[in-house]
Amino acid sequence: MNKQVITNDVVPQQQSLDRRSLFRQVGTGLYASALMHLVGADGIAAVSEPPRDIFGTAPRESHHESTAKSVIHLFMNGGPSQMDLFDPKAELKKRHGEDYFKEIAGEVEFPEAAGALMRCPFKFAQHGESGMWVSDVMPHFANQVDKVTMIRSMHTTNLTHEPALYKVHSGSEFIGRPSIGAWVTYGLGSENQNLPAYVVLDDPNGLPVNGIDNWTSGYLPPVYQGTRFRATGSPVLNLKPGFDEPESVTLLERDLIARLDRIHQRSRPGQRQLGARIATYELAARMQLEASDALDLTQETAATLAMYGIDDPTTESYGRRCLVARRLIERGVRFVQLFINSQIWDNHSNIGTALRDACRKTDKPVAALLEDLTRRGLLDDTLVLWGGEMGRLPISQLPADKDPAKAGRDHNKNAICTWMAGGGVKSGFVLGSTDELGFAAVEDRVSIEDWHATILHLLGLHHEELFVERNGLKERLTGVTKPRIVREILA
Amino acid sequence: MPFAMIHRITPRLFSLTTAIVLSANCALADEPSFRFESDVLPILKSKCFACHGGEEHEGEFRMGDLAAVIAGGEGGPVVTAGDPDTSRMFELIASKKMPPEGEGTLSSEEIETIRKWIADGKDIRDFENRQQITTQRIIPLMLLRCTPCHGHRRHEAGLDLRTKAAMLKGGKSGPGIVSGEPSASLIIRRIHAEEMPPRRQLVSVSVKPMEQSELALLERWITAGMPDGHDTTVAQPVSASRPVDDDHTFWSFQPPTVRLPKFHESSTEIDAFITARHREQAIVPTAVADRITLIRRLSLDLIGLPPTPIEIDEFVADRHPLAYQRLVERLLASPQYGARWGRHWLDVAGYADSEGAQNEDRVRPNMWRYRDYVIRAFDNDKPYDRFLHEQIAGDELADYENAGVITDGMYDNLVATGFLRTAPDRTFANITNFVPDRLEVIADEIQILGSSVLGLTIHCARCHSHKFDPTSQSDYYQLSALLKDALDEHDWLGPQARTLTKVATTERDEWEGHERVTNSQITELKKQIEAAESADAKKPLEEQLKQLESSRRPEPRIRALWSRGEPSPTFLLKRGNYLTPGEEVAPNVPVFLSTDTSPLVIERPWPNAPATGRRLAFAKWLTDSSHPLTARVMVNRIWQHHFGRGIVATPANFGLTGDAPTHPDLLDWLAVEFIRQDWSIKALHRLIVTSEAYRRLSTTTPDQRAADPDNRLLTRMPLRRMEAEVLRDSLLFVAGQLDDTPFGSPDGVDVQADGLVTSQKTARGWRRSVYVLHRRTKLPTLLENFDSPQMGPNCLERDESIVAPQALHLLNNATVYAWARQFAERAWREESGTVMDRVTRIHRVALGRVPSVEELAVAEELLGRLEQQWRLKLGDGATDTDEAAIRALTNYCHAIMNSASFNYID
Repeated sequence: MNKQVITNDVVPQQQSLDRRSLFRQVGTGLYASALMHLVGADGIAAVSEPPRDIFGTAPRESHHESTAKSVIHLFMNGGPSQMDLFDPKAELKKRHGEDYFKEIAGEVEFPEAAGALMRCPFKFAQHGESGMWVSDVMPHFANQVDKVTMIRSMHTTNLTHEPALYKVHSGSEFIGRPSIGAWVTYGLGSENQNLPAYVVLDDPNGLPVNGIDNWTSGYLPPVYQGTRFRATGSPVLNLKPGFDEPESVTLLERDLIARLDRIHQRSRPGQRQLGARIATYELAARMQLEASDALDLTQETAATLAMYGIDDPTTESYGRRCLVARRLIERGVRFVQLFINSQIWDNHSNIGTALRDACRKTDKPVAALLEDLTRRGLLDDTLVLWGGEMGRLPISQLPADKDPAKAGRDHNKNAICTWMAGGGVKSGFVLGSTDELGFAAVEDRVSIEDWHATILHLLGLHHEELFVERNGLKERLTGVTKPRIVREILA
Repeated sequence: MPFAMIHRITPRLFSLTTAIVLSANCALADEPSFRFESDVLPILKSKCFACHGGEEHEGEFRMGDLAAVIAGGEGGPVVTAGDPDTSRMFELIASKKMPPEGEGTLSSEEIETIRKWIADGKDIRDFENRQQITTQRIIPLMLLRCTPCHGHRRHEAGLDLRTKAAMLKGGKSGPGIVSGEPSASLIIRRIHAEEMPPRRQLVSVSVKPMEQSELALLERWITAGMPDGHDTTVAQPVSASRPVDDDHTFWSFQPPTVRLPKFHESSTEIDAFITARHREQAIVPTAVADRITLIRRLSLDLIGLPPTPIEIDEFVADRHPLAYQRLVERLLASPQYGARWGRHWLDVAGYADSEGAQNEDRVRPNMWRYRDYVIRAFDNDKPYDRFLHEQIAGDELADYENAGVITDGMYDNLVATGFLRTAPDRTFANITNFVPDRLEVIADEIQILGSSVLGLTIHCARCHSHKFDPTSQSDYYQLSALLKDALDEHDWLGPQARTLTKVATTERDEWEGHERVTNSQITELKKQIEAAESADAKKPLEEQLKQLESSRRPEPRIRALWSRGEPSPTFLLKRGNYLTPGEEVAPNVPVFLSTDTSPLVIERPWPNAPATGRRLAFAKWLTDSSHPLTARVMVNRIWQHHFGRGIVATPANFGLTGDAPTHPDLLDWLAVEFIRQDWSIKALHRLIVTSEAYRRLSTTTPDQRAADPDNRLLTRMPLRRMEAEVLRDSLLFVAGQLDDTPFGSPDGVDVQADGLVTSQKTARGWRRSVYVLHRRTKLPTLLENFDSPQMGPNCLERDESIVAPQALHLLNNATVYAWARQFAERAWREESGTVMDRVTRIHRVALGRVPSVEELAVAEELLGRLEQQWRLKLGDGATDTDEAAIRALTNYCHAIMNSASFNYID
């Protein structure tokens, strides 16, 4: 934990800061004693690189100097419509209503519902000093454009949610590979050993498509898997006793376990895993305290809560998660990922209202997060990512009654708009372009592998060097591909 | 590549650009400025031929003549006319990656010459235009774009486009092709008009439209008169003529041979090999363990459950000289053995009860029969060679289709084929059932087969020849051709359709009888309802009817893999890409493993069988006694599960980059002995667990750790954490909550709002973990926390992670706490003496030993304080009862369940 907590608020924050630093010190002390166990009393060399059978989240050296220390991934599952948000297409307006289906028939998920070319139902304008185009459904983000790099030329490999989600999270269209958050924590560990290194803030209303597989550690050990923090109640599975017992009893039993384990360990010198195991029991106890503290939003001022929209039922849910994300990053968590349930960006129908609703829920909190991170000096080394698993088609998708008023857009794997902010990327910059209809990325194309390699690069990791040996293969996030690091966007 | 893709999908946007390029070509339609023969070939001869000459062909790429250079290597074309920057050959030369270090370099003039030759492009284009497109190039195209509706299973409009003859013959609308006249050919006209494949139905048949470049090939082929001849546009396979180089003499590619060590005073053969290494290194191994340690270790290892106090007492008291051997026999004969060791095989087979891959992760309803088959095979000590025959080619072992009675053996054969049906699979939905989706499933099955049975990373050769092993890309596709009559990407059975109703006749009769009785009862009841006079009289009858209806059982089905007759041809896919088919390959085993003494013999399994016999031939080849890998890989796996580490530490990689065996002679001896004892796995257990190496204490000395830090020389038994299933089953066992009912449909799981996944209870408790539904996305949290694999696609070696969620689960989970309470109540019931007597009982049940003096002192102190706290909490109401004492004892049991003594095996 080397981040300084900068705050405008005086009294409550100060108290909590003291409490936190106390935990941290206690934590370090205990952790140090656990390390002593790892080292062993009999002189076996210290474990600088954890041996294969003891994977951990202790901080590790990056491959090269990094510009980003941590990541907040605002994952917009469903496939936000690029030509209705960030990539205006005059040609689409001009050719609105023209039949185009046959030209792209092989790229449509629901051919029987495919309609004609469809213009954007919203108004676009340029914003900020950079003059970045944003449509009028994102008024708050429009004020933040000078902080971001917009990539208009990303593309993926499958036009169905499940494979596309696996792809964007793990680099492969198939189940079972580690997600990028798992790779990053495997590569860098975490700066706070009292909290999980990789935290997922999913929607309390339900899991996204592919469920917990979006943050799986795949074939990496489970210590690198995303840990779900619930915004209310006990944030981590089994964090608190699921049964009724006086605290004095709990403490006595913990003491009993510790004493039995020490007796056991003493008669088995040189067994490293026994020390590591004792350390996990100590970590479990510390996590219980610190996780609850991280989620305690009563420590925030009313102004902060309002900025994130926590006082408004529409933005409350996403705002709460954005604010928790900041609090976790402040505490040294490496990777925080936010999800939304029910596919709000998957606008197959009624795109005019459905997309506007999706923005209403998220636009204000996202802008507040950027603003808040900037004010606290956290944006410099925090990489914020915004985007989904795919884009959408320039043609409409029609309901059974073919009513164009209810039209939406079908999936599109050939063009995705996504943005990044902070952590060493350019501000107020736009990379790449799509064809005149917005169907496919054409200039400065960025594949999912390129995007992954670039994120790793910003974090000081090289995609070739970050691997794990498995079944005779060096497995990597970017697989056997040869991605390019998108250097154009580096500040 | 990206540009080509965009071109395909947005033809209108790019038509202008294409036109410009074409006219530019016309303007340059003179003689080429640079010629391959005179300008380029001399450079290649002097600098590149050492590795890419006529005979040599690294990367399956030869440079002998222009045709070979244009055909490219296994990675596809290496030159693109007019575009040196995207031409791989130029890229590698210009970046000095080729020739490789130490093999000389090209001068800048030479590099420039090659650049200009490609940039000019005329020479290359001229050659390409002269090339003949042959039938061989066209067939994979038709398979990809047309035959789902005009092929094997469907003949829409009476049309079959799988062969040239059938294309000429055509269908209801007349001949499909007029040779020499593409514009008069119906097929071409329909494709041009974008009528075929029908655009609105693309997804419903999982087909994509033909690409412009593919259509151009088809037109050229028709224009040329549909020639069959040798196709020069694809690289020729060279594996058949692949020279035998050093790689082929690698140890694991040679048959195992017996090289006995000098027999010291070792008690078993295994120890002779191991002691020999100790002597070399002058290390003193740890002593043999006491009986109490041994029975706990052996019991948890062989049946996955701790020994009971009675079993321990009997063993300790057994004065027979073969007491240990008798214990081994008892455990090997235990009905719990198969549930433990079958689980190991289910890991390598990638067994799961769900499809994975898609969000709903739908359940595979009949997969559990394969799980039961594996457990029974281990219980019955089915010889491993037979075990493989059944799993790879069970459908080809007996004519089940024409059998009047399906015997238990025939049923087993069919169920066993589930082995090649375990991969995650998304092809049940049309939108994820295109040819590339199916190829992913096939690739996963080949990965499972290669890693589990052959111990090779064959799947690496899908896109290019193996970087380290002699596995060529042809080898991969030849292997996939062996499986093709059951796994054919052009004749695909979706997951829903992969069931046979050929369960054993006894089971079928039982089911039919049940349905018959139920049906007649229903008919009878319906009559009664009709006849009933009042609504009040009807009501109970209707209730009864509802119950009867719900007692109907679905028809019993097997999820299987079976031959579907003559498969489509197999083509090597350059770079593993289905859009770039290469040469057709024949079904065969990897060339570097084929020998004259044990050839692959493919023949129909019985006269007039529809099955091709390919997989059966492969299975028999695998289990030939001279096979270098099959037995070695299996004995290594068994060793790995006993010792926590294989003799080869990379169980799925016996190739050049795998770990060298720590005891090569022992590995070979075990492999030969395994075959000699008729591939008996239980015989292998006997050999291993009766060795001194297995019976040593797990304690170590500083000397041992200094000389042998990773215990590669087996100076001691490693201390091991219980695997996930062993832990859960043992917790249940000591709590008296284990329902030992074997087999059948898996027990379901519940997902709580916070994401915790738990297994469902039966009337008698909880069944063993192997019988819990293994849904990939909903693994019981307890099992997942302790490294139970998700299966993507299989698991050759489990992690042994040590993380906080494990501690949190055992400490705070309500179910674990409830088991502790049941354990405490059991101890209370079974031991009526003092509190310390109960503590002793708890230790004996959970840890197999009595508590030490020190442990007893801790127990006495803390139990007293715990009981005191509970008395305070419970208040006066509890003074007359034992409740506070039982609660304190619950905490003690809970602490034992959390303790390292319980979780670790000495």
